[in-house]
Amino acid sequence: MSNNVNQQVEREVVFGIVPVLPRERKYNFPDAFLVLSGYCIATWSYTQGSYLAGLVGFQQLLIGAFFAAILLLAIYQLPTILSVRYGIDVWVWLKSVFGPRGVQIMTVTIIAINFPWYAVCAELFASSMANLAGVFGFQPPSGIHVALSVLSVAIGTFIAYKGIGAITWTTRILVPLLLVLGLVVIYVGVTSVPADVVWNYKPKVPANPDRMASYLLSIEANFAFVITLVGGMAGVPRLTRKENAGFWSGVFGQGLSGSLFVVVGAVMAIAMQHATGKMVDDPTLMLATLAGPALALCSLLLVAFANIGTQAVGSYLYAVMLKSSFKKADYRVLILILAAYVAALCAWGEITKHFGTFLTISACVYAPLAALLLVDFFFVRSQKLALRSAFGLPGHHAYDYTAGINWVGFFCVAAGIAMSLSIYNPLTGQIHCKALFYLTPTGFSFLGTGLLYFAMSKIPPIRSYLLRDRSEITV
Amino acid sequence: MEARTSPRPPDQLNQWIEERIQLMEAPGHAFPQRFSKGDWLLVAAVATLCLAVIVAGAFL
Repeated sequence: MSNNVNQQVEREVVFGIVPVLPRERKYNFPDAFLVLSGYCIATWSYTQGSYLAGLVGFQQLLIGAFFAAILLLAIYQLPTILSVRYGIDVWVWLKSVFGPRGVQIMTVTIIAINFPWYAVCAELFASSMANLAGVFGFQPPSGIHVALSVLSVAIGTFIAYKGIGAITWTTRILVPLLLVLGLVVIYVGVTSVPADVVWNYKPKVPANPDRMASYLLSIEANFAFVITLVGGMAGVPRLTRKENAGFWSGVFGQGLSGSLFVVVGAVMAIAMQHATGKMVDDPTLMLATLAGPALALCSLLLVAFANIGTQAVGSYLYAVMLKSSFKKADYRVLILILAAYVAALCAWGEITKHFGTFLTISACVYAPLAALLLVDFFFVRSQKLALRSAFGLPGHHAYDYTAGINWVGFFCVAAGIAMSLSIYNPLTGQIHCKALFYLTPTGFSFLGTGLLYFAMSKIPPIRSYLLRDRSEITV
Repeated sequence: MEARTSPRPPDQLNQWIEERIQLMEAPGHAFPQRFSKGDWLLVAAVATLCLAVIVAGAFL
């Protein structure tokens, strides 16, 4: 059985690597939009909504959730048109930006900073269980929270361990469940609290006494939230039949569907504050409080499966991503390493408490990465890529750079991280440079990294270092 | 179809990728429909609108 799972994963990796030809494409805009909408919805949307409601009023929250999200998506996802044109994933052509060994380093880095999302899900699972037990009069013993979080990780990992068949069924059940949960939460939230309470909501104790700073922090949170998709942004678009279908499905899948669930989370948190004086991000507690234990019990089943399913799908996707970079690694070992990492985060138990910090730290890396992709494709390589070198075919070494690493790309990532941290400290919440903070840390890092890379590409020695591939361009 | 779904050793995989690249290089290969001028204008319009609303939101 284990060999069979490894073979299945190997097959997935192969499909993730080879160029998909136009005749093999499956999706038009509506199909890709629906698939990506499902991909963007998870219970952590409620955590994001609750976090935003602690920063700004509902009207500003709506603007940030939709308009800030779509603004950044419409810019940073432009390189997906290359993925549609050649049918390749972002991790193939990232070799032009980082080199083959550099891509391995970036893969591990991205997973290290992205996997805390799964600890958020596991913690939500644990708090849902504990809260519901409380509703029924049972006081869970101390320490049960970590045990329940780890249990969620363990079950999700077990599903991922079983391979693609189990994952396929999980996904088929997961997305409708999340949609049903969202609809239930919307219904209860809207019918439990007068509309004007939600519409006119403003936080009683603002996170920052400066209202403008709070608003900018909320925009930053939305930028950081949507830019986390950069690593997986091309997976579905490469299967679409038209460049615009691939691009717009990514922009609106996250910018409309994903953001809608963030707003649902915010409405829920506002309704709970209105009813109980306490803001929560747990849909089970909200439904138990506002709609009664029976509905809460139903929602618990939805939340429990949704979080476990999200963990399973995440473990599988990232293990496949690791496997494509480290071909000799055993899929099952990779799954267990990922489980150990997220379990350690759960044992730490502080990830939800430091949600905003975690968002900005992860965006510190994502923003430079997204900027490099955009500038490299449009302005440095003029939309032309040496495909054989990108795939590492024998005899083609245009992207080998220096021992497999493009140091210009890494320098720009480091500079982008420094730019972000130079204007805002996500650990202390201190704003170092208010003038640049208007651009937000993610926005400034994105713009600054892009401009730096473009400027460096104009210096003749660096230009020839970056553009060794020109003699190999064939399509 | 079997050739498409079986796991392959690296040299076979490379050969498969090479075949696909050659298909893309062939004269008359139909690439997916390109991003049109209208799409570029729409991107600019969406980005401008979003930016304007975000700026206006600061004064709410």
